[in-house]
Amino acid sequence: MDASLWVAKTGLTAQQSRLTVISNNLSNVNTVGFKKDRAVFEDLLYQNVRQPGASTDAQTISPTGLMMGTGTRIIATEKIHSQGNMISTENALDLAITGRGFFQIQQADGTFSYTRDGSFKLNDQGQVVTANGQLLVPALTIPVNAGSLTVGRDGTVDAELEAGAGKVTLGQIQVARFVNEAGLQPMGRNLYRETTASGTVEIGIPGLAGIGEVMQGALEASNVNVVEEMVNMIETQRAYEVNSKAIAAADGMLRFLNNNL
Amino acid sequence: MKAIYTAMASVRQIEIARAQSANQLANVSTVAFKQSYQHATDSVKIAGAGFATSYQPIAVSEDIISLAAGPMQATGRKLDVYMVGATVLGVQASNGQMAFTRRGDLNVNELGQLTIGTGDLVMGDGGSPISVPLGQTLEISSDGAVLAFDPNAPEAPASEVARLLLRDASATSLVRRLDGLFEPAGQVNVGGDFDGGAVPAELVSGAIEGSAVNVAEMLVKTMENNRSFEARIRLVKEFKDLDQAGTSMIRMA
Repeated sequence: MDASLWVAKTGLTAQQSRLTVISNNLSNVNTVGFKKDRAVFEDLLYQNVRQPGASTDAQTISPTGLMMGTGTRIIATEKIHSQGNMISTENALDLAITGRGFFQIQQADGTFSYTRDGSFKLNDQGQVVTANGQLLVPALTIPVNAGSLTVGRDGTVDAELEAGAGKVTLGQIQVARFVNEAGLQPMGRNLYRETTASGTVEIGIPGLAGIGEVMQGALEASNVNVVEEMVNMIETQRAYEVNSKAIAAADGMLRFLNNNL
Repeated sequence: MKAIYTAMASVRQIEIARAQSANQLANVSTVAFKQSYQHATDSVKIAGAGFATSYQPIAVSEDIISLAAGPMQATGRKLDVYMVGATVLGVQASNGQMAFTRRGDLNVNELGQLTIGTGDLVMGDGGSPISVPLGQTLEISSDGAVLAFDPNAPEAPASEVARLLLRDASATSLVRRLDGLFEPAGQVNVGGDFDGGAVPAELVSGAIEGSAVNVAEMLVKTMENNRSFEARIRLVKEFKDLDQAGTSMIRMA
């Protein structure tokens, strides 16, 4: 069949996937610690129709070849790990990381996952857990008689005990860092998993060696920019339309061929 | 030589042109996609016996990358660069050859090396891939220097990690490779460096280049291809009727 039909079809497929990426960004506009995705487009491999330098006759060679394109595809959705806005909540267990880094979270199977969502809670044993109930690593237990809780910028957690029992240091929150944050695999529930592409995790003290600092009483908002996504959506819709026009044109030509010969 | 074959050849010769138009429309969202294909048909005399009336149309095409700028899309991302004028960026193609691109969506891979969005390694001006220091903020200056800032020492000056391999291709013809990257027209299938032109290479950081495909132009071209295809098919049909008339004339009663 006509090559242009299939080439235009790749355009439709890719634009459709891009719209899914945009919709996902827009629906997560209020998700704490969410990082927006960007669809990365690539032109597909080319077909060599005429080799550059091939002889056109005995004396002359063709100066340029002819590479026929075969369409487009989305090769990746890239997470853009830019800083989201800080929302001040005044809640002692709401933590945000300013700069690079992730909180380390224990999974049910013993492996670790990483998150930027610092809306921590206490479970029934006084342990610091995520909103989904998973433990923060290193584990942190808040005593029952703790009055006020302070988390320093370097992650040190101090509690002022009730009834004048003094101040105790409960531990230090550590922050994980990756060479290539965009290579982390999003698992949903605001969590990321380490992959080969992300590089191995490095755990460090907040604020040291380029690792972000911990900010208490604030949450990091989603970094989705609604205006930008709207513009992307308009562009995607129009790109979809022109590709369907190309299919309609190829279809019209084939119909004409069938009707007239 | 039957005239019907001449008519058919004219249909065949615009097939590639139509597929190329569709390819350009499909790549309307590809970062820094460049148009390259130019098409015309020429009349060529077919050698051989018979009257000197055997002419066939043949496609004459040119596939030189047009570096006409695509729209600048501001992203605010420090590692996104927009190449000004005819500046191109040197990368290492997956087969190890040096090739060029206009894609400026730079990333850091798992080995700490700088890559473009398709994963090909970005080359430094020494001709080797660029490794960036861990944990430092990266920026790219307008002349292609990769700068690293230590977040712990904001007052310290940036250290220059490497310089991107940038070339001005205003005086050099680039052609497309099978992987979509560009290479100089004289070094087909081998890739490699070329001497940049006189214009200094320049970048704008925090923006990427959109596809240079002109949608309106491509739609008009598609329409034109559509109508000329119909005209050519009509011609095939005319010759078919003519042949039929000839056959019926000599039919035995």
